[in-house]
Amino acid sequence: MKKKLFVLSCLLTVFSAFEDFAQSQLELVSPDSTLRWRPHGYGHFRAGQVVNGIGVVSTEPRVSEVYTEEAYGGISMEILYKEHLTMHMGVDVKMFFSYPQEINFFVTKYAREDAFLGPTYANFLYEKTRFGDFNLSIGYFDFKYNPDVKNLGEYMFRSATYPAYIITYMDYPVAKLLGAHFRNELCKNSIKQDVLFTTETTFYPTQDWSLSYLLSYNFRNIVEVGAGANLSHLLSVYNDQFDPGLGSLTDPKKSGPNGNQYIDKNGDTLYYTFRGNKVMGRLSFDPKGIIPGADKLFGESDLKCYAEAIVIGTTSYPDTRVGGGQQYSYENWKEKMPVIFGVNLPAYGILDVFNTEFEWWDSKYTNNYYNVYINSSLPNPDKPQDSIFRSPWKWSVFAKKSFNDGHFSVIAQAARDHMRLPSANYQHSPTQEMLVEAGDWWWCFKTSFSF
Amino acid sequence: MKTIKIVGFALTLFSACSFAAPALHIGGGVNLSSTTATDSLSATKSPRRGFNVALGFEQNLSEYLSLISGISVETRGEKTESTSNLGSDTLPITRVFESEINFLYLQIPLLVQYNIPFGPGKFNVFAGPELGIMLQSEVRSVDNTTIPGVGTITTTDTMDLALKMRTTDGGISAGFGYEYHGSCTKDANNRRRHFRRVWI
Repeated sequence: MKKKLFVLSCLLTVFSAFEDFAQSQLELVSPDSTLRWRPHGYGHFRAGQVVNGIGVVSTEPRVSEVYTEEAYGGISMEILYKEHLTMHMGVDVKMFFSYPQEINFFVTKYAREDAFLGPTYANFLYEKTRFGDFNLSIGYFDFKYNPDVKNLGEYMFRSATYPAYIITYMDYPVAKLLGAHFRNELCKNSIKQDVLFTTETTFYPTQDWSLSYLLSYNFRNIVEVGAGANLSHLLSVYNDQFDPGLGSLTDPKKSGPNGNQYIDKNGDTLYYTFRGNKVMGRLSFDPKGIIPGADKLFGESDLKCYAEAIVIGTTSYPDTRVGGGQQYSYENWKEKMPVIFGVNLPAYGILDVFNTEFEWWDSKYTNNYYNVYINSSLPNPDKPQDSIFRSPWKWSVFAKKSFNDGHFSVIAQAARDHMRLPSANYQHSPTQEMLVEAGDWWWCFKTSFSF
Repeated sequence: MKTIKIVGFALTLFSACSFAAPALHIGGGVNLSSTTATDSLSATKSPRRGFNVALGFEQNLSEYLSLISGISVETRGEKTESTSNLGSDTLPITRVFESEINFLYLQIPLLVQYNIPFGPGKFNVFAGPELGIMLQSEVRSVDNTTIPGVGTITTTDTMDLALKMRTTDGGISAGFGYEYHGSCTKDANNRRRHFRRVWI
């Protein structure tokens, strides 16, 4: 009987939800109201072109007019149990086309689909306690600490230390993290502190655990300051038995010309490691808060300007190349410090966002993880290539317009960012970002839809 | 460091907007531009004809004042031509060297505009900073060397200047125009605009 009532209740709720779909969230409620089920869906189609860029095969050092497409779909569900526990489960599928298309590798010649885990986590929320709001997420979740960033920035969890390298993804300035996230919000949510204990899923050596702390303060939505630190690869899960006598994956100890040794100031021979600390600071200013009547003249995101700086690895190892070796390193922290600044230009509500961002990162190394993933598995950057003239500047222009209460959006972007194109031949996937030199850039259009 | 200044003149041929305030402008036009550099060769320079496509957003701050932002893609550059005699009186060899500098820029202006009502529309004067992002920069050259008895030998070359250029640049954009509020459509809010614009 109870089962029949539950089914009936579900059906009625579905119908009522569809009736006013645009205004409300689709929701199923169990008869005793202990479970609430909310489905979510998301999809996008993207097309663009790399106008000029770096090639990824030796026979093609420079490329131009490389067309690229991508389709993406994701389904997730949100289940609220009573008032404190929410569970999220999702699956995403991406269709992509390979670059480069290889003559002898047929799977690079047609569209491929990759299915992967969407946000899947449990969330405990306790609001308005004596010590503010508490939020704990455990599992695989999205995390974004800088709400202003549209493309460049948000690098604390989108970068790896030693070598310092960065990943970006069009219209997705978010990190996907596996582990635990604890958030506390105080003083009417003006103060936020986040503690994250996460295991590496993207940056080698994966599965190592990192600890992070972030603090931000928002003053009346006019000024927001934030800072954070990340102890990357703090706990290594690897022991020396994996490769006896040569250290662990996190702390390799390989000597010789192809090893990871260096000589410190005292003359001692030590080893570069994947462990590293990141320090980040950010500032955001919204002048609309001090201009009388600005809310009526400008769009919600207009005029906001912001900056972020991060040191990706506070320790600088000397570049001694023991034994005439090929393992390079960073001589000072400035080589590992991207500085980003952006502004939302006035669009007066005609567009949701009209944004431009710039990044300055002065390093002699290109943003490449070939050495780590394919060549040596050692924590050193690739040898600088004489044929590549790396520009320290990145830029991005981003515009977005939503329709149908935000269910459908059109997005356009032109940028020289940290983009890489995918390949079904994973061994040949571009490890090096494609837009390196002055004059390199790409554009793309995207439509996205969600419920 | 070599400094290149680009001076230009642009005529936006049309612009249409669909809303009274804020207003969306979609425009396109032609421009003439030239460059000056500290180490220019002695050659005859002529402005290069280019085009621009623009998208703009305008909001009235008061009856007379409005703020305009937007984005435009613009081609710029210059043409040079030099003729030299390389031979002797008995064997006059003439070399004509032509080059064309082509820049493609993404321009992001932020303009303050002063509007003066006049007739069925209004005059406006505007000025403000403009951020430029260099998208493409190249020099195309054609070398025609004429040797009596042999003919003309033509060689062409294309050089990418991007590595020698700054990616981003700033400038001042200023100009004036006339905005016609006519009854070209049934919607009184629709407008057509013609304006001139210069940038430095």
